[in-house]
Amino acid sequence: MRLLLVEDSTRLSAALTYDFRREGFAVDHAADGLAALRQLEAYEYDVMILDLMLPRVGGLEVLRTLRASKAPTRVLVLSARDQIEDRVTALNLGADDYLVKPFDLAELKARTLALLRRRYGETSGVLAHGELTLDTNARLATVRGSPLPLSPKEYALLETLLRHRGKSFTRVALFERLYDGLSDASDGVVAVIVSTLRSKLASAGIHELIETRRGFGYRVP
Amino acid sequence: MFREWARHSLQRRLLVSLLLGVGLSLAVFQIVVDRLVDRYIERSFNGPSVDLAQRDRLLREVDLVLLGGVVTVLGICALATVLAVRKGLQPLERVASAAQEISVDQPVRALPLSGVPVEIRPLCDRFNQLIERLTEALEHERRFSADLAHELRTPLAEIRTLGEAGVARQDVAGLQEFLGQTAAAAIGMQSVIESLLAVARADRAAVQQALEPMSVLEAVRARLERLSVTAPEDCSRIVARVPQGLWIQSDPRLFDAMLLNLLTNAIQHGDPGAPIEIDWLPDASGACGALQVRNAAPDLAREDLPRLTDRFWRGISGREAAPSGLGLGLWVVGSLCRVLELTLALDLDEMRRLTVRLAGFRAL
Repeated sequence: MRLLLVEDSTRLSAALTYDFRREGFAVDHAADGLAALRQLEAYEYDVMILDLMLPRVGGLEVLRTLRASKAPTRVLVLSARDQIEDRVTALNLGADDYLVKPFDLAELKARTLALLRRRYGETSGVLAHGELTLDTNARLATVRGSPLPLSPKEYALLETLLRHRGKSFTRVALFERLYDGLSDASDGVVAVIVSTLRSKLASAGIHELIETRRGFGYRVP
Repeated sequence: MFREWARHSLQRRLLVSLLLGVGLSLAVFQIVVDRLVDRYIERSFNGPSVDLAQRDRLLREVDLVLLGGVVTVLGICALATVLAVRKGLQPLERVASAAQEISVDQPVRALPLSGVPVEIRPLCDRFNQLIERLTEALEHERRFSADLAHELRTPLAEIRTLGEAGVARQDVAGLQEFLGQTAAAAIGMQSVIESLLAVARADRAAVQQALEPMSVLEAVRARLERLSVTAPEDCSRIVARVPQGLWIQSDPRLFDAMLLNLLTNAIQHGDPGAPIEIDWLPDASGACGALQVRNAAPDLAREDLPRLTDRFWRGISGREAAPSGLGLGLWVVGSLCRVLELTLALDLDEMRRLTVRLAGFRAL
């Protein structure tokens, strides 16, 4: 799950980036509208959290450009502007949600996860495969009702594969979904994560959930 | 045409009603007296000779008619006056009910002027002007509250989010970083509040007129000494050229607040490598003078000048250069200038040096 945070407050973006990364999101940060547009050209994001009053290019212009490009990215506007007309304008321009500062962090995360579900046409926060269940709201994997301890990256990889069952992901494609643009890691780390994930699943009694298709990548059938 | 002339003035209404009343009454009175005189003539010339009793009765009748005529004239005049006044005051009642409907919760509407007598129109005009000024003041306050709420929301969101995210943070270094950021956000909020308090205090000072003799050089030195503790590197860039022994009549506290805001503005938004110059410019007579602060402002454009004293205006470039800037410094200076009856002038020369000049200080 890749998230773009467009926020000119360095303090707020530091706190949000830390928290979303802790939840397994790959978070890129843009401090102004121009940087946001560049990021949107370079990557496809699942969700964008967008401030409105930005240097260089305003948030509404970023939103307008994104919607003109037909990108499927869901947009949550996070702004200090609380007037009804601000909300109406942003929603009419294609924002999917609007939250006024100051906000509750848990609410922001819940709304972001709801947008993520809408992005993939899901109605509930549960992904299931046999005895394995993922609660995408609690970010928790369980096998036969017992919690399966996974790292945020392992969880994110498993969620991605379960969300797109049958679809193969190359290492690069998975890397782009798991890591932000500033990460120093290489896509080789995906193979390591898959390996540790497979071990944990096997120890919980789930074998051969993740297939390796030579030349195509990984998938959950 | 005549009706229009009469209906727009209470005086004219009264005059017309009186004329109508008196005219109508005189006409009726004339008819009655004419008929009595006709009867008297008829009896005197055609009938038998008039006896004394008959003559007395006729005279009483004439007295009665005269008395009745006067009473009738007075009655008709009174009635016409009452009707005219009532009719004339109808627009005033409409104005009164319109004034009664004015509420703080609803947009204020001007009083209706249609049909209002000319004698009352100046009062309504004044009232409408007052309403207009009140509406402007209310709108000003509403915008100010909205701006203030907006400016306080961001640091408040920072503090809250840093706290909520920090609770789950295990690493001590990261937690300390979050705590430092929280303190910085709180300082930002404090700056907003202090700037607003400075203006509020200035408004109070304007009422109290707390002017006293003060030395410009000593005030500048005192400010620079305090600045050298909090921002020693920036302070070393400041060059002050103020003559010794220069005394002016001003409010030392407000003077210091203006100087602090000017210098903070120059430090935060100016070129960090260029000098900041403070100069005293006496006028030709020597009775008045201006305080001038000049600094390099490479990110500023001439078209930005009119907006520099706007509340919470940072400008795009200014925001990039100094995200901690609040956009209140020059607004505070402008507000204090109004309180002290000084003239604030801004200029950007070809070398992109911003000059802020406060003119109108009175020398002792």
